[in-house]
Amino acid sequence: MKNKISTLQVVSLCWQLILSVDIGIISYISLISLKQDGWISIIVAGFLGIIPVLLYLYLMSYRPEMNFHQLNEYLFGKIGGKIINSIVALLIAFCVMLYFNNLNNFITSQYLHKTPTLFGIIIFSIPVIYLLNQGLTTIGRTTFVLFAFGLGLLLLTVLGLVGQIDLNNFMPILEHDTTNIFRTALRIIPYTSFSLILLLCIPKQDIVDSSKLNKRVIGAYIISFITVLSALFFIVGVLGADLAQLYQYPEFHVLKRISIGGFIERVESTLSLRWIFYIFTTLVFGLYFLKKYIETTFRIKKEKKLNIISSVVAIILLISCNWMFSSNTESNMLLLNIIPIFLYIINLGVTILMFIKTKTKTL
Amino acid sequence: MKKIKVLLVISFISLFTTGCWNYNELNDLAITTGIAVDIKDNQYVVSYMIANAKKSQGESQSQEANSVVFSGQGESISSAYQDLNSKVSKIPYISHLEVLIISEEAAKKGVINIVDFLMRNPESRKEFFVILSKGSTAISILETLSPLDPFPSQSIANNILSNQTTQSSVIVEEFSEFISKLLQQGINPILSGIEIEGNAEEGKNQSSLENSKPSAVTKISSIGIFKNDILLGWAEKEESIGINILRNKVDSVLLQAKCDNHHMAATLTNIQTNTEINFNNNNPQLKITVDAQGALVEINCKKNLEDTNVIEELSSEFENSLKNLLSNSISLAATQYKSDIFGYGNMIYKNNLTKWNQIKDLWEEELFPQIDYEIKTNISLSSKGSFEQTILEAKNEK
Repeated sequence: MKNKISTLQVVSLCWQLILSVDIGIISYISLISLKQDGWISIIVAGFLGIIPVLLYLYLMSYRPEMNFHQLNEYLFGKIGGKIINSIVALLIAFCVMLYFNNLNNFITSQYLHKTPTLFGIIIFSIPVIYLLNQGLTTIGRTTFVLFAFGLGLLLLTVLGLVGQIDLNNFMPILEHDTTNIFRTALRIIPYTSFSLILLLCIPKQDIVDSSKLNKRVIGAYIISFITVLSALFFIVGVLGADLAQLYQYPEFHVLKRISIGGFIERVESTLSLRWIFYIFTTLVFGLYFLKKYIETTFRIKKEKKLNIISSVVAIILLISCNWMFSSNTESNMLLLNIIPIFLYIINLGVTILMFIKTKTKTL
Repeated sequence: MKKIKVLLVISFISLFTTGCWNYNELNDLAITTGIAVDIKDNQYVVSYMIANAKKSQGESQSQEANSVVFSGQGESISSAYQDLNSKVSKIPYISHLEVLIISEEAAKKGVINIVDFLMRNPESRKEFFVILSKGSTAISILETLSPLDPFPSQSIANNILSNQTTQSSVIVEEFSEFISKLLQQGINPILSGIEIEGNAEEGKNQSSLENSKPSAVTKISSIGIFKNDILLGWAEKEESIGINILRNKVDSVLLQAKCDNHHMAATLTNIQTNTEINFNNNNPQLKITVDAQGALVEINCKKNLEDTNVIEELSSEFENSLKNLLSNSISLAATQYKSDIFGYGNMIYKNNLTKWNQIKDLWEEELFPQIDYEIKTNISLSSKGSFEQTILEAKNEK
């Protein structure tokens, strides 16, 4: 039972994987490129981003008893599969460091601006590594609990902000041309849809009532994109695009405007916890993906040995993220221009290659 | 054994997650509720009003003030802040800031250099009021004690809020809204002004509150007109009311008019201002319609208020009076200051982007100052107060 997960837990995982980039990445990309038209690029990204998600679901169903790494070895042979797995593992490791760097930057710039970053990294790493060693079932349960908490906080956020929206802040509509909108959408897709590749590390047969999986994952994808859209809607509607563009984390600053019933105020620190939950889940699952890679590639059978190795890898990755970027300016430039290209080449490239191989193998 | 290990891990974690790394006791913080910015010898003087002085914590003598003001001077706001820090025994904490007062002289130099420090500071919440000091230094506004509130900053903030509903000549502008207006195209910000009425020096002393009439009080008056981030000048009370009506930011207005060389007044409520901008070639034409409901509050001429024609005649007088008020406000902004404080340019930007891109470079200097406008006012005098007739008319009937 240690490695079983329910469909509902998978759905909550999808939600959190997509929304983990809602803080600091999606809002930055859409506001810097399109200002008040950013919401259009999110809708376009939502439509286009379903394609890789459908690919992932197809690959999950192809050989339900295999996870991503085993499937690659099956499709491309042992050596070919190992090479592809290693490339993807490097990419996932990079993404884990990127998301953790984003979280630390958020915490130290908005909450704890006098606390050393390394201190926060060490504190946060402890529960991540602990959960990593507990097995898929525990991870699934934790994911679901965090999802439920996050949903409650999201509802409070919506309640507190809905009355403060000024629709004039969205004018003029389509100030930016459609090329720019598509370009921004293509920048958003790698950070949102591509993160669902992590689902492939769970063999479909380990998912309880997996017959409903496809429908539920697509449903979760749609709803989480609507949530991403609503976040930007609130940012622009409440702050205005000009002001929102200047803030490092406008989604956090918009929470400072919340006042419910005249007495629920100054709750931004509590309400922003949901982003920490989302990123926590993404980190755990990203590291779980790497754990499965180590298990499959290096044929490690003993659980204790595997836990130790994966914990060491996790510690190295999480602590190294502190030195990932020299400044916020550098990280923003890379997030906007360079990193999406790598994500397309490796993530989408490998997925399409696998899809083609499944078709040729069948023939 | 496993339980012991888990307990050890939990204890280890709890040692580090109590938030003690940069923990500050409340006693170590100087809770700042008001900031004043002045210019002296070409340098910024930043003054912080600290609310948790000894008196407010109940530890001191009865003559000591509840709050205390510290100042620092420097070439920039951050260097002035650094100088101020060297004088304060506690750590300034601006999360509870209520009001930022900028002196007229500092505002005329440009406010962008002042606001950047506060925008960048993660502690500040950007929801405090911004106000200009008129006729005196910003620090003297902050030092003027109030008989009604324990701290001057609180008094100023409450004054702003209450004046918003009772007087229509006040702008309630939070810091983030002010920055937003600075950033937007086709609109310039405005801020309320505050001045001292009475003896400013005596107003700083606790003894001034011992009389039934305090030696000095702070008074919200006028609106400061900006072009980009530079203060150009002031709009007086009547013009300020007109500006607020044109911006559709008014709850009620007391409007004066003439009636056979005597005075009359009405309270206007439910004021709705609609603005349309059309273009004749590249020349903008404004069509402003103001609808309001009026209640007669004073009439000193001899009129038969039971005659509907008289009521229409009075309504017409009030409409003309309102039209003149609005016309003066537009002339002040357009002709005198050439500053679009109403956001007509912003309206064009949002609704007609193509046109705005054609005219935006000419808007402030050429098009807006020469703008054609037509004002239509509709006032319906629905109430005459408690009296059905004027006293003079009633006396005449006898």
